[in-house]
Amino acid sequence: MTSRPEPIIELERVTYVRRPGEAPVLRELSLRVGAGEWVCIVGRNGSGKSTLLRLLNGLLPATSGRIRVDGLTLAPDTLWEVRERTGFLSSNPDHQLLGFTVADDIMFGLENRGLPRETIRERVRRYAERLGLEPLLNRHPDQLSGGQKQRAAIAAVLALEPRIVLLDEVTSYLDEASRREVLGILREMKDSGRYTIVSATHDEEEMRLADRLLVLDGGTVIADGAPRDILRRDDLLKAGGMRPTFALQVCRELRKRGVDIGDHPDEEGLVEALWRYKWSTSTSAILTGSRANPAD
Amino acid sequence: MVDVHFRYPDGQPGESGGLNGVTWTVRDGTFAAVLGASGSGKSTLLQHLNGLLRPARGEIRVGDFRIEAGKPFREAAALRRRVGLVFQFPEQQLFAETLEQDLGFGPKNFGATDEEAREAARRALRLLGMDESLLTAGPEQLSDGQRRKAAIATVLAMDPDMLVLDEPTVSLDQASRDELMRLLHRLCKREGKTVVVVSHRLEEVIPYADECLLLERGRVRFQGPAEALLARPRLLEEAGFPLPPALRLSRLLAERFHLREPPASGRTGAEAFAERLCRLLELPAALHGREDDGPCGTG
Amino acid sequence: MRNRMMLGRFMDVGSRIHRLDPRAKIIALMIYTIVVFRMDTLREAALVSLFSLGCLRMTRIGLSQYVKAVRPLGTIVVFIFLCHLALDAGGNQLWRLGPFSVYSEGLERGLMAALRMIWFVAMSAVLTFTTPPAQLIRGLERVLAPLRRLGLRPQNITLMLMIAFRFVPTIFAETERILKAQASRGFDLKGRPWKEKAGLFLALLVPVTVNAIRRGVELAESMETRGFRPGVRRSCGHALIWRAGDTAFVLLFAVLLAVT
Repeated sequence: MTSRPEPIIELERVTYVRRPGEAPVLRELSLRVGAGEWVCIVGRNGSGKSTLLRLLNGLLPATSGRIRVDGLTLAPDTLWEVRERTGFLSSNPDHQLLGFTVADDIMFGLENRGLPRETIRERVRRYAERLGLEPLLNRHPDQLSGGQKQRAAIAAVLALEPRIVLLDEVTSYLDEASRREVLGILREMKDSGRYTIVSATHDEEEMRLADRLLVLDGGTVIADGAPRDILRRDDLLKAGGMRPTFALQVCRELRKRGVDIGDHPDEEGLVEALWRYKWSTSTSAILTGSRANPAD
Repeated sequence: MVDVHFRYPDGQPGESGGLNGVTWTVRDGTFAAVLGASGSGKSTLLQHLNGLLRPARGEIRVGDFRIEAGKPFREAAALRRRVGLVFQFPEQQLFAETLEQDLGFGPKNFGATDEEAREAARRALRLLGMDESLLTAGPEQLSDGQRRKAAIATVLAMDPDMLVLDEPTVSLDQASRDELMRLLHRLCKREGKTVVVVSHRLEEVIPYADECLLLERGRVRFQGPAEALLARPRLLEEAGFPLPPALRLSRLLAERFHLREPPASGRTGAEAFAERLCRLLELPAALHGREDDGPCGTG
Repeated sequence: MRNRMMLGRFMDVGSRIHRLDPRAKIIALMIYTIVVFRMDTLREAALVSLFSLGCLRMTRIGLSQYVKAVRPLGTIVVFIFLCHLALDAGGNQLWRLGPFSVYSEGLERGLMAALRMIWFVAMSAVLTFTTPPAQLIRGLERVLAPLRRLGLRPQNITLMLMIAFRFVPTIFAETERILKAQASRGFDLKGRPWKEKAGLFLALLVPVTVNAIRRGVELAESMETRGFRPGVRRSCGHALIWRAGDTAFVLLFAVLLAVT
């Protein structure tokens, strides 16, 4: 019997209270994330998603419980080491870039690390290229679109080569085109296998790209599984502040009419299931001929 | 009578966000959707509606007001009372200690007495389905969704004939988004207000919109009823809009089952869709219990 | 208006002065400041003016730009000039205007005061017009580095300056937006008694301030998660290379100091 590999992120009964006397935002939460996984956290606004992310890199101190990141137990003396291994991105593109130019901003983190100038130059070049930012390197952030700003922020974080990336609703403020850009980048990041991603989101497409979906409600995890399985359950959708997709609703309506093709939140799944249903029932109708024609 | 009629207003043509020869009509009491990517000019368009921006060419008529290019417009204050403009992230403009004060700000600016302002505040909250007890709350005590609604209420408090909203649902969770759109639709149909919503999410506005305007780089690419827009999926794709799920599903099904026409338009609800599906595909009901019935248990 | 408030408005024209190391320009400006405030006689003023004019020409940026930079000071300069004219009594009396007499010393001192301010601003403009803001900040950081021995942290100061200036245009845009939003609710400062105006300003001030603070908090998060630790040495991604031309430039200013 092989032992489970050590999780790259581990929370053990973590509780977070914002101010003494207030109800806890997170209650005895335990969680394990394996290296290379993409875990998506969903929940209504105020369910604790953002708080959870900020506990993972020490932006907020846990009130009780233990947090381990990449083998290190999060504590005041390991804080900065943990931060070297985790990258963090938040939702507002206007509040993350502080350099006069995109290049300056990417350099900021690298300079904080005290890296030599050549390394800095090289990483700026490499990550600007990877994120399609070369023509924008000398622009002032105000001259960029929302999507471009988020891309620049992503470049600034990836240039530090973290093993874990924490994303707080990064597509929330973006329009359709920018959203697709950013999701494309996230998909590439996942495919590269180099990053463990933990992202909080409202975006359904993002949820479906993830390996695992975690639903938070009232400070605890009420569901943890494959997106496909969770997104078809009405009770979880409701608790997480989501609504069933159109495809899922159609499945429900069909079932009410006696056509049960299962629950499919995605359109392709619905079409396939419907196809199979039609085939199997037509076939059985042919095979059991007499039953379908009682008049005979 | 609130009627918006544009004739070639031009911003700075060529500049991102400018308008170039936009002609548009919105009838009183309708729900209109303005769609476009960022830089298409939709925010610029909105600001023309209440006189914040003046057209470089052409004219704008809103109700009895008339803004002509090149001529001074002195009734901006009165116009702003009739056309309530809600910017993106409206909760950022909340500044007073209590909601009541913030809600009263608009009416008082237009000369309401304290009592009138209070009544206007109560009414605005009610229209958005919020409880009156929130009047004494400060903005920090509200949830995100409530804050957004409260901010919209501050504009509603002026009792405008027309409500114009720039991306009112951005950054809200799904359930809150749905609720807000439903409330806005209700404002239109029940209270008789003309509602204009700018959005980059087609599927959000399409169930409610009577009229659609599609802008691209400052020009009108489409103008007309929502059904007409949905009948042109290629146009939507070119403009960068994902098709609404009903439409997407329709096409996939049409392809797979070799149907001659897609089962539904983009505005069909799930129930009606399921119904059509059953009929079109002659779906036999489940084998246990319902086989004597016709398609989908309808007998 | 937004452009005017950006850190000096860098204009990339590519003159020799543009290519100088920012440190050289900053040190030169420091020396120049001493020169300008020491200048006392008309002869010195003439020398400084000629020198400064030469510098301005070397930047290959039109004089009109410099005039624009100095213009905001216009009223103060005129006011101080007139004060000297009216109140400074010394030297020969030049003419009378009712109870006020104008003396030759008054004229001289007035002229001197005016020129000091004008040239100081103009030469500062040379610095900001010819140096990209990021370079300027880094140059400043290096020049102030010795202050570390006094227990100060020039790195933090310059970082603060950089962030502040980088957001000036952003905050202006935001103020404009809030103004429009409140105007849409009938916010109108015209025709209101002063007492009310002050209260109404809250409608503008509170949202912009709250947003600025919120931005500050999120920026701090971004900085911390990217490894920023106040007090820990940071490396520098930009190379600042001191060349012979830089030494020459600084020496020129030293010479000016010597002869005045």
